[in-house]
Amino acid sequence: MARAKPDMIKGTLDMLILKVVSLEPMHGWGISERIQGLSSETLKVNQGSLYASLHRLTREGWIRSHWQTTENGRRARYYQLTPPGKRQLGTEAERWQRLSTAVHIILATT
Amino acid sequence: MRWIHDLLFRLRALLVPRLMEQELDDEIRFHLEMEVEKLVGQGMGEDEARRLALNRFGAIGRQKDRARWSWGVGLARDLQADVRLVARQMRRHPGFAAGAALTLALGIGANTAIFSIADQVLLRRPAVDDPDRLAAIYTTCRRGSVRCSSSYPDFEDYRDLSRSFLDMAAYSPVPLNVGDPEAARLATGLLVTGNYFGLLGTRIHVGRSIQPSDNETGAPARVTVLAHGFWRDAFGSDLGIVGKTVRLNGVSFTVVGVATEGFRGLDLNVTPDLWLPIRSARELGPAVGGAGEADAAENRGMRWIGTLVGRLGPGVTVQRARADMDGLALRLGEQFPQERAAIDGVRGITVDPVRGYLLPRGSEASLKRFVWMLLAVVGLSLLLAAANLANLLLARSTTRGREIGIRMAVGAGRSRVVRQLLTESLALSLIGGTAGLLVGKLMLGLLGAFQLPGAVAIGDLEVGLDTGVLFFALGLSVSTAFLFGLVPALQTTRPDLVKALKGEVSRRLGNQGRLRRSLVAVQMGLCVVLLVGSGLFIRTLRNSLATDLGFTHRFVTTARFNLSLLRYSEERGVAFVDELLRRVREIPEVEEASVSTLVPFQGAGFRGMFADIGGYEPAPDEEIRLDYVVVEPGYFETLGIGLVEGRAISERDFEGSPSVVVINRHMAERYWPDRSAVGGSVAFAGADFEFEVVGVVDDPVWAAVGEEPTPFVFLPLAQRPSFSTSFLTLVARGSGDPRGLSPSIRDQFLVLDPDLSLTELRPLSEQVGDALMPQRMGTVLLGMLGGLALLLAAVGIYGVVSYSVRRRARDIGIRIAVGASAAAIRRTVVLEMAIPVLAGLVGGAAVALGLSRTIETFMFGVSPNDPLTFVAITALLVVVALVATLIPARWASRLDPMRVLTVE
Repeated sequence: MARAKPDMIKGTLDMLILKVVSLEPMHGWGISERIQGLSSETLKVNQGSLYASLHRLTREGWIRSHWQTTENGRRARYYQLTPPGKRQLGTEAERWQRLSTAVHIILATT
Repeated sequence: MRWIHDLLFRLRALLVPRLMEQELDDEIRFHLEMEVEKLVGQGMGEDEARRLALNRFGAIGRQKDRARWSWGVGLARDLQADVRLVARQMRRHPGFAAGAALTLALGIGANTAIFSIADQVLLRRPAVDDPDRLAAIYTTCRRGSVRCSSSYPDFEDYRDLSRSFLDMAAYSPVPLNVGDPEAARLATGLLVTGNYFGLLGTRIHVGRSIQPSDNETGAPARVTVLAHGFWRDAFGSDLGIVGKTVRLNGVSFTVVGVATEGFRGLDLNVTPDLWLPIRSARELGPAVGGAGEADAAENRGMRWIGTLVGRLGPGVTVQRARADMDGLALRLGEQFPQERAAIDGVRGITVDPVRGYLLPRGSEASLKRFVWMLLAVVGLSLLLAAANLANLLLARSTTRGREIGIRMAVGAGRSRVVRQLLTESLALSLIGGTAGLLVGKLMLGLLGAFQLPGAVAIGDLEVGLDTGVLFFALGLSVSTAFLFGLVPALQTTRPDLVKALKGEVSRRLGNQGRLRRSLVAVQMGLCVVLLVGSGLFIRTLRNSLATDLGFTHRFVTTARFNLSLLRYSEERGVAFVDELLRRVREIPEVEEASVSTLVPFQGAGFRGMFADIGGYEPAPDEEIRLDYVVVEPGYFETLGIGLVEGRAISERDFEGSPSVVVINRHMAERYWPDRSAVGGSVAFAGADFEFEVVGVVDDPVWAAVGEEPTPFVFLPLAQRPSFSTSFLTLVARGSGDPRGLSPSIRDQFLVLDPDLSLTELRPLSEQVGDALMPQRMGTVLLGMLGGLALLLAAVGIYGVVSYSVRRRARDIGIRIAVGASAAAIRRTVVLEMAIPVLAGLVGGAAVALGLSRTIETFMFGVSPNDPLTFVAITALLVVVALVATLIPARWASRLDPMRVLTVE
């Protein structure tokens, strides 16, 4: 059984989740939709690993969750950023910036 | 802060898992509903949308599993689930579970018991300070006998003149009569120098130890330290014991302390009951041997101290200490040429590192070898049990294949399933291990009656289920679980199983058959090794029992006593022995009786005396050393030792009549090769008169069947009255069960002196039996395990063959349908097993051939590669394998093709 190619660079899913829930509290399906939407369908979230990530981030204390009714009357679990999560998002975003700049420089070298 | 979050989260996951699960389910359901809604919104049909949503999400089981893992309690939860599953499996197949656990219990139990013995003999360090820095020191007797006793001046020389030791102590065991006459008991005393406790690291429970001042030359203190066990058994753990007096051989000693529990000196087979100052030996009377002599501390030639123990100086290696002592031995040899002379030069000094308890001298190698053999035997049995279980699990994996296939299809990862299967093996193994502890304890109880080589009674060792043994059993259970569980688990979860489930043809089953057949080969091989071992031991026992011992122990009973323990004088001793014999001979059932210093198989050593033989010219480097036994008339008649020539010791030989000896046939043939020995003369070194040889008797076996005979002389006790106060043995022959004689013999002793303690009041046949203890133990243990191995191998073969024919029932059915005869079918099935069985037999025989040489020392009258044993065992195994194969083969040959082919 060949392993499926990862849809996303390892570790970036956590950062993207933190970013998305920093905009507004959001449920799991919404988070995956939002990531795909914002990236114009470039990034596909592996829907299965999404919940493992969400629970791990909760365990770390970077996001917290509560149950609430959606606009069309369903009960859903909403995730929102915590202050430590906000700090974490800052560190990860900065790290990502540095990384992508470095990759850019190398690729731009002729 | 983060860790608090983490902890709270994990606690919640552990404590309210159902809530967490519920939330996860709700979350996933919501997700899927939203996805379906979205797809329907895009114009897709409801059903198709649902299918696509599920597809996008992936296997729900696995995703939930991944989410659960992110809770950080995955392992704990999985384990919980696995244990529940295992419990369910066991309830569903109780027979399999019980069989597996029982097999393991026997295997692990046997290993635990033997390990506990091996631990004492090979591993356990004496309970003293830093035993690594200790060395045992002995004086050499002659070449090949380098661990002999030392004299007190030897000890002082070694202690004062060596440069390798911080300090050196000496000790020697003595038999003691403890307590008041009406309740006397025999105990083992250890005479020690004043620095003994200090050198080993004082181990005192209450009171004080024996101090250097207790050994002052002028007035040695009559003090004693009790062993913890002796204090408990003989004094009821009396806390006020210190200061009280205890009578040792009739002399009062003051108890000054009690040693800590577990402190039992340095020797494996000497368990001291009391420690005494070495100089106080003189107070104890002549019973303590050389130690009791007046000049015991000054006589250089009187070597009575069993062991010297030294603590090596900082940085001094045993090698350096040896070189140091070798030099010292040479200097002492020059200084005291007479006293330090050995038969083949100057006496040397032997330095041994103290690695564990000191093993009985002379039996070190055979004791170790025997224990290693036991370990190997039980280890092999456990391997065999593991192979058998692996085989059973493989067979079961076929029936469970579907269940496992389904679990994997719904998304359980392979490692997850392997883990679950291993949990099952582990559970079986731990149950088996726990029951094994019980089996081990029972086995130790049974083995307690046996003796290891060197007369080490297993019952006297501190064997038991202590922490070390418990850890051993645990480790063994876990590793056994992996041994028999891993291969079947990996095999069962092979990815192509999923294909097999879908009905695709797979090579897996063929592979499994090969694997199981190789396991059968391994089992057969182990069987050969175990059974050949037990066969060799059985043949040895039979040979030993069938050998003419040169005496008869039939209807003979013995009683050992020592009058000097009660301070008898020579005259009183002689009178006692005379009166005792008169009374014993009057017992109606007694046919013959005598008293002597030694009877065959008594184990006690005999001291060789240097002698000259009249008319025999020894070669320049030849020493004539005669072993001797002092006997009362009737000795040869009681023991049935045949008279070859002349006469036996009789009433005619009394004090004052000419000194006579009877010699054994070996001596007669050696020193009077071409004429009659009767009438010849023997002169002992140090005596100024000669003994006349009046008779020649047959050579009885003294200690072990197969021993080389040595020259022996028999002296009349009447002419050597000083021996009346040494250790003596009464022998009496009746006309029936010798046990019946014992009470009346004990009565005669009681009438004569109620204070006298008797030892070894038992049939002589038991002592003869004891000498063959290691062989008996080998026979019993190997026989039992070999039988078990045979049974397991038969079950293994049967399982493999019946599985294989059931799987190919269709093929066989077709062959029968097209006209194959029943015999042809049977032949095919049998031939299939022939290769693994034969391979196992050949491999096992090769291994057995290699291993059997290591137990050659315990064999008698049978070569370690005895063809009869090998052929018989191989034949037995072939028959067993054939039967185990033929039962399923018959089943196959009677298949009804119509039924097999229409099923499915």
